[in-house]
Amino acid sequence: MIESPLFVPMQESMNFEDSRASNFTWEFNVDVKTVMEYISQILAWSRVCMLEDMGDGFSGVDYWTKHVLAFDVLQENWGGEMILGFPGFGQRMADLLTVPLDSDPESEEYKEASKIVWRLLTKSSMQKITHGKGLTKDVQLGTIWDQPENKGKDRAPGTFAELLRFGCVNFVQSRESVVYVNAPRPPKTLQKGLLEE
Amino acid sequence: MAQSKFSIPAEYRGQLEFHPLSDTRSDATILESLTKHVPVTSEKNIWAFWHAGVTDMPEWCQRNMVDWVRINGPDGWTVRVLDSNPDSPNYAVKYLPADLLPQAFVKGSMTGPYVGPHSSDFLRGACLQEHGGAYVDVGNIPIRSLDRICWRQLEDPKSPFQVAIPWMYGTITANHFVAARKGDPFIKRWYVQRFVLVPAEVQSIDVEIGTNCSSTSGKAVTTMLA
Repeated sequence: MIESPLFVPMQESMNFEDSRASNFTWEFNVDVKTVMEYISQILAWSRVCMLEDMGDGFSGVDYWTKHVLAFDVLQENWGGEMILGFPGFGQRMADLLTVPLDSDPESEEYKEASKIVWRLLTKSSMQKITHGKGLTKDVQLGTIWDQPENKGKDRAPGTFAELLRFGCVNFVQSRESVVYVNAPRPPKTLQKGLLEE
Repeated sequence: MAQSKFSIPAEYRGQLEFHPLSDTRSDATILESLTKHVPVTSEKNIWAFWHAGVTDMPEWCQRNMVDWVRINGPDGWTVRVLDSNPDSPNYAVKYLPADLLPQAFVKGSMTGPYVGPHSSDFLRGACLQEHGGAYVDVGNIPIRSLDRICWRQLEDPKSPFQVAIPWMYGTITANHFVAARKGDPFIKRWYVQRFVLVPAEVQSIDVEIGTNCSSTSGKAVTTMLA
C-alpha cells in the first residue's frame, strides 16, 4: 500500500525519527516499511489533511484544522507509557497491576503501582492496551494478558488491577476537559484531487 | 448513599468523585446482550470488531467492551462488536451495505498476518460514514465517558467540531479511536482513499493483503464521492 503513487508525498513522513522526537519511543524490531504498511490507515488520514480544495469545495487542510477535535494521545490514552516509558512497558505494567493492595505501602512496587493507577483514573480518558503484533522488540501488555497463565490478571481481586477496573466505572473525573490540541496546519500541502497521483 | 469498595486517597479527592454504577448487570449478562443484533437508531454508536465475534474475544477485551457499556450506556450509547462470521447476528455486513466493503471481507477470504487490523481499518470508516459514532479498538480500557471526551462538542451545533481523534504529532494520529458525525466529508474521503489503496484483488477476490499494492479503481466506493 505504501508504495502507491498516492503515498509519494508521504515518503518523508515514513521514518521512526519523527515519532521518537515526539516521545513515542517504541523499539521496533522490524523495518520502517513494515511499520508504515501496518499504519497505512494513518498515512491515508495524513494525506487527506494535506489536500487543498481542488474545486469540489472540500479542503482537507481546512477541515483538519477547523473541524477535527484533536486530543493529546500521550496524556489521554498512553498515560501508562508516559510514566513508565515505552520500552519494557508491557511487562512492567503487567507486574505493577498484580501488586496486592494490602502489600507494604512503603515498598517501591506499591508506590509505583499506586501512582500509575491513580494517574490513569484521574487524568486519562482511556488506556490503549496494545498487542504489538510482533512489531516491537518487547512483548506488549495485550499479548501478555492473552497468555493462559495470565488469564484474569487484568482484574485480579485484591490487586491494583481490580482497583483500576473498579475506578474506571465507579469514579468520575472532576476535570472539565480532556487535553485538546489545535490540529496543526501541515507544513506541506497538496494541490491534488483525492485520488490524483 | 452507597459506599465505595475502594476509598479515594486524600490527594486525589479533588480530582475524582464516587458515582456508583447505575448499570449493575453482571459481566456475563452484559456480554450476552452484546451477542444480539441491535438495529441502529441514532448516531450514539460505539463500534468495535473482533473477527470471530464478541464471545471469542480474549476475556480482558470482553471486560473492556462490557465497561464501555457500563460507562456510556446510561448516556444513550449502544455498543456493537462486529465480526466477519456471516452466520452471526453482528456480522458487519448486516449493519453496512456490502458494496461499501472490500469483497474479500464480505466473502471472509482476507488472509495475511494483519487481517484483523486491516479489516478494522475498513469497518472504521464505513461504520462512521454510514451511521456515525465512535470506533474503538477492543484493547482500549475506557475510563471517561464518551460524552465527556468529545461527543458533547461533536453534537453541539454551535461547535465547529465534527470529528475527534487522538493526536500524536503533525498530521499523524493514532488508530485506536476515532469519533465522527454520520456522513462526515473528511471521513468519507479518508475511507475512499484507503479503499482504493488496497489491491484490486482484495476488493474483488481472494488475496493476501499488505503487499503488491497499486492504486486501482474502487468503483463501488468512489461513487460515494459522486
